[in-house]
Amino acid sequence: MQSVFARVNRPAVAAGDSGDAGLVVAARDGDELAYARLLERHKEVAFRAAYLVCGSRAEAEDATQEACLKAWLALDRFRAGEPFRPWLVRIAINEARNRRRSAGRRAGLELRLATTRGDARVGASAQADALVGHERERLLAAIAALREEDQLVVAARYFLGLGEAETASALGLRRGTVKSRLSRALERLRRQLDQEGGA
Amino acid sequence: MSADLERQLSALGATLDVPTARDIAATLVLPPRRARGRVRTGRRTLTAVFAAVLLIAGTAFAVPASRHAILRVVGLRGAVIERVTTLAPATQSRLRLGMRIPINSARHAAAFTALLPPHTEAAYIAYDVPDGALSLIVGRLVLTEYRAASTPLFMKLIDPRTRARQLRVQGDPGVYLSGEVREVFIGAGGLRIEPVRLTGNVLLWQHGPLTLRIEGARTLQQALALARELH
Repeated sequence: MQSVFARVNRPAVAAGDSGDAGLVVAARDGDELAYARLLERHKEVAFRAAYLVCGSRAEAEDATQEACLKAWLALDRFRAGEPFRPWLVRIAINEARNRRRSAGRRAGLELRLATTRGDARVGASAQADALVGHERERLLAAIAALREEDQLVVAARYFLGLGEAETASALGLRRGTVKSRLSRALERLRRQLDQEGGA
Repeated sequence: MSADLERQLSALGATLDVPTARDIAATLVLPPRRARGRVRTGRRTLTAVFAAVLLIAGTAFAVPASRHAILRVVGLRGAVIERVTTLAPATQSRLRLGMRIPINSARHAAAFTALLPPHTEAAYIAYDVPDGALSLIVGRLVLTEYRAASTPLFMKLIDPRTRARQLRVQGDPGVYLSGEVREVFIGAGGLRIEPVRLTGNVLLWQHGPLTLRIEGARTLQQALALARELH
């Protein structure tokens, strides 16, 4: 028996190009192809979320795979009309946190700058690039000083590209809580950066 | 200022070190939708164990000692059991479990998501069956997992004195063989009689598409204890 995802490029019959809602309905009825299409759309963001939490590629892959499996098994409990993406991200984050806890590592996101990307702006001087790189390091350090609950809101909004409602769903929070937590986190970041700038 | 900071954060997100995942979905094998009910609570697990014990006590079947009888174990797809009049002499040799792999990669080493116990001494993967066979060393026991194909991949030969008990393992159909057992591998390379792999008994059961086998258990309880720990 081959993995269902080996067949993902077959033309979908029932699912077609329908949105997530249609695919979820089909997947809930046991349509593996529809589920494969859902994962094709959203597995990257789920992996990215897991990686930011546990900081290990292997663990993030495991966490994402477990999340995909758990989501499949729990489709019956998924509320119709809700967006699928933040739900999958939420499961992936929980899986990644469990793995981090099992490994005895401290809470907090594992954020690192890529060494080869990011400063490749055409026409920018080496000095400006170095400055930008330095600012990024400062910003990263300021985020690292936040509490994990604030880090997660920042990460969901700016590093995963989730909207406010999706962030609320992915983190299991009310929308108002996301707003207030994000506002608080931004204020703390701003203060910290100002203090460093003035030092 | 706020908009500036938000722009900086978005830009930062684009420069974070996040590797590209391998194709996670390619090795994900979904259990049938019926398996949804296997999200277990402690109470359910307890009930399943209790039911298994009742089943063992009440319906353990004594297989008729007819010659060369194929035992039908309802629901067990990856192996077949045949009772023969005499078994070939046992030989001792190294276990052929395949290639040793890191334990932390065991869950996804084969083309299915394997069930793992909390503690494992060593893990091996063999690719002489479709989708691979994962073997784990747990104390003195060997746990093997593979995906059942349309035809059984292994045949267990037992002699007339070997007991075969049909039972449920965590609600799944299985059989416990206690006594003399030989294994015949039915693969692309033809039949191959395995040497006696371990002294001990064999628990075989079917969990969704997976066939699982525990060898080397001194008692059924020991084998069931390991089966209960798998997740």
